[in-house]
Amino acid sequence: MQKILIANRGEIAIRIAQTCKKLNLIPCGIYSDADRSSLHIQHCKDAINIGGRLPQESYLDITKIIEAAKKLDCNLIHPGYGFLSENENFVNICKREGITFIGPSTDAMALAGDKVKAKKIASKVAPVIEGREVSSEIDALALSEKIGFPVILKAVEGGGGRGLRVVKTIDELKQAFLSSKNESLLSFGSDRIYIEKYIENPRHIEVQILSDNSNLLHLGERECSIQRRHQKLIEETPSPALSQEKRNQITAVAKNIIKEMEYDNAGTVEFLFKNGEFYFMEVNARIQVEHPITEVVTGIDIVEQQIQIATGEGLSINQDDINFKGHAMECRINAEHPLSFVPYPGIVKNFVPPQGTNIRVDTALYSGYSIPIFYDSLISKLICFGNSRNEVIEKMKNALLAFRITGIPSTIPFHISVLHDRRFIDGKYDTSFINKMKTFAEKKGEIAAAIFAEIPKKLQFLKIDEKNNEDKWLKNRLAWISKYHAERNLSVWG
Amino acid sequence: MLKEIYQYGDSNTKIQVNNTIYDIEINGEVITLDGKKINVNLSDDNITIEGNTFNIDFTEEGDPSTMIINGMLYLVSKENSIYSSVNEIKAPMNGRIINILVNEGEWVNKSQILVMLEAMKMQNQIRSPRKGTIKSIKIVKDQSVKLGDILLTFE
Repeated sequence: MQKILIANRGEIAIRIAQTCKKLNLIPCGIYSDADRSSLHIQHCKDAINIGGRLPQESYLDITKIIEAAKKLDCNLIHPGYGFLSENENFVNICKREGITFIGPSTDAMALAGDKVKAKKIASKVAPVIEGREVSSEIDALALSEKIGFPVILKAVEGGGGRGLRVVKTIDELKQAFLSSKNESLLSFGSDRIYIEKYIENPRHIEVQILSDNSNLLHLGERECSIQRRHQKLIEETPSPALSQEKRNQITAVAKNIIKEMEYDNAGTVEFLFKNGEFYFMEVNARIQVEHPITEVVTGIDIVEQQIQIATGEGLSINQDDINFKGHAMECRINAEHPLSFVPYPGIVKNFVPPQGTNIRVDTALYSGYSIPIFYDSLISKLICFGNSRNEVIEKMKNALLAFRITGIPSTIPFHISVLHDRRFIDGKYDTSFINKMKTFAEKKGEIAAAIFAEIPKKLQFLKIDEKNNEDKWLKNRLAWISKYHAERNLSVWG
Repeated sequence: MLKEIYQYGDSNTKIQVNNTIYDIEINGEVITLDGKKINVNLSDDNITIEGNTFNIDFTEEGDPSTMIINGMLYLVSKENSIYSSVNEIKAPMNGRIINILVNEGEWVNKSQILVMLEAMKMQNQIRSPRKGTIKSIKIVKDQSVKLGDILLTFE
């Protein structure tokens, strides 16, 4: 039996370990000093502590990870999402060390990571947004005037919202150009900037692709327009915005882009969609956070296919084998304050996920778990499946109401509010949805009033004994880390 | 057993929840909400109101206070002047005065213990809902009082 190192943490590590067991592979893991009580360790046959707490001291440290793989006799590595999943250098080193990287080849990875090159190649077969890389401020001005404001500035070698600037007038351009360059240099070590026409309030639709060079297929689209600060919060499939004709078009175009790029393994082609037109945005060269909704409507295990492609076994399915059935939706539950949206690590007092048919919960939480402050604030993914979109919305509402995560705040109230919003129910929403959203709560304000009235008597009534878990070093870092997360918008994977 | 009680007299408290204002009157264990007496039982992570139980997922005091109840968000705040307008401290229950910890004319702070009242073998600390000067003390040690009796008044 082969051993596979899962170079990740939390829910995705657990999810990958489950498929490994199904395929008779032995899942092995790594964990940082901050993750000693992480649940993913329990799902691995063996796991090695690689030390460190911050990502760069742990899950981003290539040397430590390769060392762990050798120590554990793993000849396969699955990177999950985030961390090293799209790091070309890591792919190269795995190859050099004789370890099979579960993901695309180095060339495909490099191409997907270079937005300018990817766009150029995609433009042969897909509509793209007008724009290009700019060499100087003068060049930036000339291009912006030619394509017309508003324009958007992006880091060529970046991602996750960093370096992004929307510019509406000539006067704003100079300042934005400089700050985007600086931020890009700081975040990605490159100050290459490109400018393109800004599409205001588009929908965000992506297509899941599986490719093994001899065989290429799509697993339908995902609608990911419910976002905050470029962070996806709810995804669904199929998209309520696409007619069957548009769906056929967008999936065919996505396949053509993958073919042109000679991309192998699982990948996602992202598009902006506005006024019935779609434009290629980028290719994500990893398994994505929102992959479960595709799995539940197709019955395909994407991780299984990833492993088969990477090991040379190849895809075990054809396009004709894919039958899309029903509707699926995912709510990303993050540990964050409902008012400030700032990540809110803490101790989970009670964790009781909803149960029932057609409900899937991907998570690494448990009662008593202390959420570390060093990583993503995603703590659980709630996926619901049903015959129709309306059925899924009702199922999701009930599942959210039954979901108990106590002691820390989460995005559950946010999701309940979205599901009661007329625009969402009608499927008529875009990436600006959140700007006009109202908080929904059933007319049970008197309950809150009564609790509030009782609170002075029982001030400590919900506080857990944090003394036992007190870690001075952690406490000191907390303020800084929260600020770091908020400023850099770290939760942008997927 | 010792229990803390904030005694708000019979003043009405206005509490705002998600833009709706509720009138709340607290008299010891009895809560009257918009004129209707309700039976509230608060435990660690749920609250039972008139036999219906609701999960309290998260609370954080602040302005406004944040509460997540059954997965739904409630923002709660109170009107500032409510407690400073309390002029009389009334007995929250029937019982016996076992200690008086303040004197007439004395300046007290919010939350300062004013009176100890024993009821059903439990000692209850009656704490001040506001800062201010005690005008008069209407009770003496070992006196029996009934629910609603005036214990002391503020200037």
